[in-house]
Amino acid sequence: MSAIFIRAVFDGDLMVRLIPIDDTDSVASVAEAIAHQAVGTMVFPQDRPIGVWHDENLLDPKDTVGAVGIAPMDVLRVAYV
Amino acid sequence: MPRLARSDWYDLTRDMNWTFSYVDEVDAFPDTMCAKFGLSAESWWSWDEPYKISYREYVHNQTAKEASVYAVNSVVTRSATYEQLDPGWKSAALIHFSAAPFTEYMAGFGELRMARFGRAAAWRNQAVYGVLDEIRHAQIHLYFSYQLLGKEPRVDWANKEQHTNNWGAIANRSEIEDLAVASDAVSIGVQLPFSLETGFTNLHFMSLAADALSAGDIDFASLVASVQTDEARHAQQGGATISVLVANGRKDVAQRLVDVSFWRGWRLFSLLTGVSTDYYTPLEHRGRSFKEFMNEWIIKQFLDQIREVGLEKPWYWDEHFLTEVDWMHHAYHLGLWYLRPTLWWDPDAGMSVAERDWLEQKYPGWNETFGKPWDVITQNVREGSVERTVSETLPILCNLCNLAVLTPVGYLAGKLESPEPLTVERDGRKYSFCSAPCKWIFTQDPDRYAGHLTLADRFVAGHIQPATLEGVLAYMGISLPESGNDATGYSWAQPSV
Repeated sequence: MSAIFIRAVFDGDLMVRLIPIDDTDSVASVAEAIAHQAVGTMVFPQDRPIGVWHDENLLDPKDTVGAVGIAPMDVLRVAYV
Repeated sequence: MPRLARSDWYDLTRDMNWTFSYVDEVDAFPDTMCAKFGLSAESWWSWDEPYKISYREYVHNQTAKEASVYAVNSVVTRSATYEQLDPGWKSAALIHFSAAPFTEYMAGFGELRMARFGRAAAWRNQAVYGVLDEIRHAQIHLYFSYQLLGKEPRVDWANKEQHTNNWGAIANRSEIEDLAVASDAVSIGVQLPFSLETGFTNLHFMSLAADALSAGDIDFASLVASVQTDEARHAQQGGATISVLVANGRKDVAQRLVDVSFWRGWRLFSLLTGVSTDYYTPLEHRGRSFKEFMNEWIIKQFLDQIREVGLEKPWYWDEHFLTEVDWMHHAYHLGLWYLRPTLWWDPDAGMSVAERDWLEQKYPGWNETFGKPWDVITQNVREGSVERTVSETLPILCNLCNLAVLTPVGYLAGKLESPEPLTVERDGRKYSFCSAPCKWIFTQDPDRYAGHLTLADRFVAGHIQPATLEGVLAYMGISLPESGNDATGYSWAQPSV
């Protein structure tokens, strides 16, 4: 396990957020952690799935952070799909 | 001894330039203190400020100013005027009182550098008055805030702020030390008196004086109007310095210095002045909007002054600066309110129906852009979920201006092409930027800025312990009783308001 910080951007949010994640986390759990900060605080919830993009690639929610090569302070863009 | 007319002696005593014979020019004016930019010593002897003053006149004028402004303060502080002020306006005053003294004091260091290393005797003479002005401004702000201490304990941030690691203090220090302290005299001569003082200080003091008078804060209005009369005088050094650079073929140097310092000034004053005028000033006392103040004092008058000294508008003027005048301070306001535990003042949300109507009128489309996150916040307040209206995370901070990177909301407002931060990778480190001009300034001289850590960088590096919200607040010097809360107890969120 290795904890890193990433820069999280949720579409419709106010700010780029500093979020701690772990390389064993699934993409789905990272999406949930980021959405928890933005949805219901700055963005109204929507009944749609949430996607995570890294270097413009939509990630598989079942992959792990380490497997998809997310590095410290990378930008993760998150949005309703 | 006969008393000569001023015109008979002024130029003789002011223009005491001479060619060194006992020391080398480079020893008397080392490059680190006074960059040459290829100009000879004699080329600076034409340096000329339009409004001239003698020391005798200076003392006479300043004595009268001091008597007037302290008389107002003496009367007003014994009355109940402060207690009757709107809570939002009190916050505007509190921000100003905490930002001004140290900034003015640091500007005094800039004036001192010019008073010693300015390359013309007339310039050094004028800068001496600038030193006295800036010391006055630091002291008068501390004195006025001290008078309020019994009514608002947090006004001690007038002294405390710049000795803390609060994000606002870091951003303020970063700017003023870059432009007024850690620069040579010629660069300071452009950055401080031209971009900051002719441009943004003028905007800030003139707009706040107008709003203060309207809001009934006579004391504050009297203070800032008095300070501005000094600023207007010593700000003349900017145009005079640029004119010499331009006349001697170094327009490129002057233009780069203006481009850098104008943007750095815009960043802080869009927060400081923008939020105060459009949100913290009570609606019934708001004269013009921040954008209208900007249109008059910066976009029209200051741009005229840029052209008068032979320069062009900065390269980012149309694409980035004019665009931001429409949105940046709305983003900062939302960010300040959302991060209010990190503040030592109580931000006024200013989100009543009437206030939102005013914002929509002044900034068409506001409801469909910045209104959206405020709709979520309002719903949370109405449902009693106030804890959901406070950030649980740190924002990424810009590695140039040290302010929060608010690109997502700029994208939401349709003002940016991407919500993502701009990035520069250097020696294995990723640097974040809030805007193209901030990134450009960094890349102009990366060695100057690369070693600095923003508050978020310090958190990541483990400098802030414990690594919790409480730990961050303690690191920033914020105690629980000081920590900011909504200025009006969320009254604006009630459906009838």
